[in-house]
Amino acid sequence: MCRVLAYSGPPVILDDLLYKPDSSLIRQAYDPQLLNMLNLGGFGMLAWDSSSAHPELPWNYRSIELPVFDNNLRALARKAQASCLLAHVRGIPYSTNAGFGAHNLHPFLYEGCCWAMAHNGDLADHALIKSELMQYVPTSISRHMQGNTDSETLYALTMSILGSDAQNASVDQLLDALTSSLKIVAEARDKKGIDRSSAMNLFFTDGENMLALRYTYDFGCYDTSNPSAIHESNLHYLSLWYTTGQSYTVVENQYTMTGDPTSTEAFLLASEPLTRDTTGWIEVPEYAALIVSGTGSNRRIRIADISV
Amino acid sequence: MTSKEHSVVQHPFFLNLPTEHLQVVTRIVETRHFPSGKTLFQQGQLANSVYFILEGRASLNAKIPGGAEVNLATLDNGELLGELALLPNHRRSATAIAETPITALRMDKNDLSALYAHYHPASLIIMHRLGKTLAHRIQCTHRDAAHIRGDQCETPMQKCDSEIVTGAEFDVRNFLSTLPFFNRFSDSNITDLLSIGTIMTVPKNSIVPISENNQNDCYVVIRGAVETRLHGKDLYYQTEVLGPGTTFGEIDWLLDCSTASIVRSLSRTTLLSLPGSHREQFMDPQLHLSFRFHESLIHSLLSKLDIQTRRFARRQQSLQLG
Repeated sequence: MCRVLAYSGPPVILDDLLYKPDSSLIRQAYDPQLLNMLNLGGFGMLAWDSSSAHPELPWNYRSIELPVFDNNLRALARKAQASCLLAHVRGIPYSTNAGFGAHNLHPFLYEGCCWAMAHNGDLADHALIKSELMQYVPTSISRHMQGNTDSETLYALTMSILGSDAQNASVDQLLDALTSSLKIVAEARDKKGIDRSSAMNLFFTDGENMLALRYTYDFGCYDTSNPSAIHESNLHYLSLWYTTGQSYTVVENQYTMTGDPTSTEAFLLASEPLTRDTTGWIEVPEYAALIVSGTGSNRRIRIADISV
Repeated sequence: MTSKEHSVVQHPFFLNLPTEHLQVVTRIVETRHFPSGKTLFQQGQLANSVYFILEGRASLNAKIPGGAEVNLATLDNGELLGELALLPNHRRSATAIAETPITALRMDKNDLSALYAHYHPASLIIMHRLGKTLAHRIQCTHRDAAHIRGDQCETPMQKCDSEIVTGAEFDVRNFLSTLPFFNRFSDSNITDLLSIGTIMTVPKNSIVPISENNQNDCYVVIRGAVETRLHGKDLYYQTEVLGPGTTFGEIDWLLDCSTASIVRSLSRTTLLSLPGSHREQFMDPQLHLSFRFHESLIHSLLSKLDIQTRRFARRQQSLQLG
């Protein structure tokens, strides 16, 4: 069912986000605290480093190796730093039909688009509505598609709605496009009579601004033909948490935001907190988008209700 | 009465406990003394015990991002401290410090669980009283949480006139054991529960309870979801979205009162309704269902209180820092 982490703020060594906290993203691959399912389908990340050449471009790392055994990632995380990070560990059903492979790893970032996306959730019966959704995706976008997942369809659809603005769209334009995408998906589900719970926790960033969606279609509606087919995401609204401060570092053996508690210079967003002590974290409301715009002391955080 | 029993009955939580139950409680609690300034438990520690304050005052402080501490509550004699420990694998969400010298009864959650596992009648009374205490706490935190986030709903919810159906469109019984609330229920527990409650299916956007007669009913969501809203200063604000295997109405059910909450179905939703008028049936220690039901109810309340406490901590943070 995946776990996602997004960070924006002062440059931070990746180790401090990916490995060191007691419930870090890499640990969440095999020992998530708020999910029973494991996330062993691979790891991917995009990281923006303001001190690198072409700081507006992220560097990209992805691997289908189990991240806890990935020596390259471990070594990289100790060395590299990022002022913005979008990282994802993929959880997929234990089946040969699950689309395992590097081509299906997140985050997605197509050439000519400024917004990257990672998904935590599952669009039920994606195969039944994919052709309906792809009608909205022009060749200029579809030619970049490499995988076959619901997540990539959602990304392609949203980028298609942004159209020529996809290259430099503001966070508000993205929010409008995302809302339109959600409506298109809702209509396609209605047409096909799909009413199964489908979680749409989406994380977007352009290397500076962020948008996170916590949304589920038909939450709580499971398939009534087979009790053993009920999935935990049918029963629990998938979580999405954030914390803010001046910088994310270790204090008294515990990773936490430090500095002025009202500061939003550093912003951390995750499917579940990176520490087992969750006191410093707060949940994004259900059916809402969290919008983070600006940088440094001008960063602004707001929550918008999403109704489709 | 032994001196320890005398200490136990001093705490209002154990007031009027039958003698045989008092003896059992006395066996599973220990009296602890904490000098002023001593830490009872630390934020982030794995929690395994509940304290009943006999004398003294404790403050509950949470460390928030940035390192500042906010005061969540001050608890005096006669109150409970650290009850979230009863959640599985819970880590303390705040640090408790003795503001004055404290004498308290400490109850290990494993001892309470053992009593429960053996269907001891004393544990049923403890769990029921704990349920009432938690329900009251949630009522208080709801009031405080009213303005934490921009989730006020300006549009009043309209009652849907569509037909309410008794029963469900699928065989509910096959699914109950897969839902969180019923995880520990045996087949016979489920049979007993279904004989007391009523299964109903409500259309999307229905307001529940569906009539005045159901005001104090407790509901378990079977399929679909509901959202609860409470009346704040001028507006309603969303408090929870509840999916399959979670409860609502349990606060009114336990306290036999009526809160200002409104519950709306978010999709076509199947519910199990347990009438408030049958409350006493769940206090029958001869019925194993009573134990399982209370256990699940407490878990549900603790989870809600845990969420509200975190929201409250953030609210306190913004208040403290202006």
